[in-house]
Amino acid sequence: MTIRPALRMTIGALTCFAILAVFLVGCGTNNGGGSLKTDFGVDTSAKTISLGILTPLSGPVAAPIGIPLTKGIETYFDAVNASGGIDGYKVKLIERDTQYDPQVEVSDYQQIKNQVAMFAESLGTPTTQAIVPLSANDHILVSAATLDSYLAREPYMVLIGTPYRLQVENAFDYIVKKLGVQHPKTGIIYQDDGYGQDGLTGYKEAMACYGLKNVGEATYEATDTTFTAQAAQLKASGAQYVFLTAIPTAAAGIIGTAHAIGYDPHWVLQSPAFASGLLQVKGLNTLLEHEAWVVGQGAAWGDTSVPGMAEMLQNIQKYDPGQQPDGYFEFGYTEAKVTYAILKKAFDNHDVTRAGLLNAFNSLNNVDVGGLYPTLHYGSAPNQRVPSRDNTVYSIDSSVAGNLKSLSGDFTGSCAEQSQF
Amino acid sequence: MAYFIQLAFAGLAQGCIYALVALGFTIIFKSSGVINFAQGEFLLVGAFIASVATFEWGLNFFLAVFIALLITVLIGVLFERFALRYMIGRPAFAIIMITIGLDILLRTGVVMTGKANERPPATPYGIASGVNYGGVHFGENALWTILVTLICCVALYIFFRYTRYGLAMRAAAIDQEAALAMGVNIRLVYALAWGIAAAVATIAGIFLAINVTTFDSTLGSIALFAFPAIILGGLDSIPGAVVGGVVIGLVQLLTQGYESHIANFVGIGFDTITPYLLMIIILLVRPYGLFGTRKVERV
Repeated sequence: MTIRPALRMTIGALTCFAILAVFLVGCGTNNGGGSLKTDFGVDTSAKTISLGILTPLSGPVAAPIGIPLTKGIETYFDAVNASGGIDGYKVKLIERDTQYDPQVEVSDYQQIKNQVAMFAESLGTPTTQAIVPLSANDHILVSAATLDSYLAREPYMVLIGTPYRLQVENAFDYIVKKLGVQHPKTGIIYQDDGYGQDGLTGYKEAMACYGLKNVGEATYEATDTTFTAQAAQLKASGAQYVFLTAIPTAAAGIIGTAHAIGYDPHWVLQSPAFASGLLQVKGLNTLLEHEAWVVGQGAAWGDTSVPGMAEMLQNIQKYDPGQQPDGYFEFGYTEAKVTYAILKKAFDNHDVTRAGLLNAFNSLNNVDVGGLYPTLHYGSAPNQRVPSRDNTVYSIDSSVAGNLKSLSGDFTGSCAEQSQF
Repeated sequence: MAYFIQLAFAGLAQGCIYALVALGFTIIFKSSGVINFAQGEFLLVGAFIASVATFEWGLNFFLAVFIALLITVLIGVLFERFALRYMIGRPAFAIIMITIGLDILLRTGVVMTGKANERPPATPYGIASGVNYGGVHFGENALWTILVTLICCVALYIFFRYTRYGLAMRAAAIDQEAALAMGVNIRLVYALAWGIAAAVATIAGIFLAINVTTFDSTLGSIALFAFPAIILGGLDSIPGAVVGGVVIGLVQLLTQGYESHIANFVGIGFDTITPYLLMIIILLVRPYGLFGTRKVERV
């Protein structure tokens, strides 16, 4: 049998078309109402979208931070799934324990990156830093549970809240502009790592902005077990206000030691430097309540006049009834709201591929988190990726839920307003 | 001057804690030739049990310390009895790995209780207790740390010098086979060494926890600073462990206090490396440490 050339060309063209059609079907699937483009982590038959969680579930950071923060994310998505999911797609969380170890984080990331559409949590500065180049290479969005400023310059990193650097600037704005203390003698004690350097950068910018009289700087290692040198150094300098970019145990050691050697300045704690557990220490609790402030963010726990807080408390009753007041839970819950906004936008655009998710993130503009945090802003340039620049200065009060009481209300200082990323 | 004295006093107290940790290393090494990498975690477990006994069980401080001592000594003795005893004659590397395993087990055990974060220490006095003289604060915890370390040193000296078991331990340290031939119970010697090491680590842990105001499961990492102390003093020398610990504590605190004056030259965090720098310098001059025994082998 012979086939005429014209017919042969037609068969060839049809075959090519069929192959192309099969390829296109493989790349994008139909979602009933319109074509939904998908690649990693989306199961169109089971109607699920998988998100990765990289968090310490064991080790010293797990109990105070990792576990409550992750529970916040779980609770939020439990509620989302119960109300039908996102455009009918249920959210599935794939969790891995990083032990707060950058090497374990990288290994966990590599294990699950092809199973997830994006990472809904990567907790910690050193751990997240370890996966920044990987996520850029894999074009995968990562929601970072750290406020390290430099992440704002990384296009695949999603920040939640005001970076550490701006926290310091806002704290000194409160002292100089709100309290009217002119040219205060100030000092800083910071952890000798990336977290501490971010605090120090903010402190130096604040010095220039507010005419602070910097009289003392001291540093400590995360493994230090004595703080006499730092306390004695700041005592000798005569600083009236001392900023602490520290972890809770170090903050407790510094404040306690300084008090013992007769030095009681006003301490201003970076948000991660405070933990409610510090109030259990006899003597230290009084010092914290009388001589320390915390600069941070977030609605007061239990304040049901804030819609987001009322919603969160309702969801806690339904999905995690044993949860105690915890700022990290609130952070995780807020973080999940931002992840939801990215996913929702991507579903609305009918594109939940990694490129589609990045596009959705870059075009988010404002995300209303129901007042849990101030409205968060996002965009494609580094300055636009700083989600907020405002903070609240809190006093420490063991009689209120969450142990923090707002002194300043939410505000953005002039220095933080102008700070460039 | 007050600034210098404040730093020196704190350095002396911190050095005493290093000395107690170093003593534990040295006692085990002298009697069995094993470097116990779990020594730091004995310190954590001791401080943790004392804290739990005080705050969760509502016990008196001294009773809490007694219970902590009892439990850590028991852990040390049982570990020697049921793990190390089967390793006699095995390569030193294998024994070291087993002590690293114990280190991980103890720390994980504390973490798994879920009560190891921002833990308040068991303490009989307030955070500012002490006396002020000439602009220097002599903290009660630091004073007790120095005094108790002295008492421990004297007690250990009397034990090793004048008691039957002390003599047995010294004999086993010099020549195990000869000691065995003379009827020394080597198993008892090992058990005693582990028990004493666990006890001094617990005492160090309780003082250290009070010193840092709150503690977590990383408390045992202080053992890293006791290593230069024992190497500097001489791995097999008990007086060397004490002198090494005190020297390291003093050098570290004084460097911390004055490094900001030479920050342009040395940068920040110089105090972290000074113990190791000092150790290297001493070893270049005296390869067996300040008080270590020079090994002479017949070839």
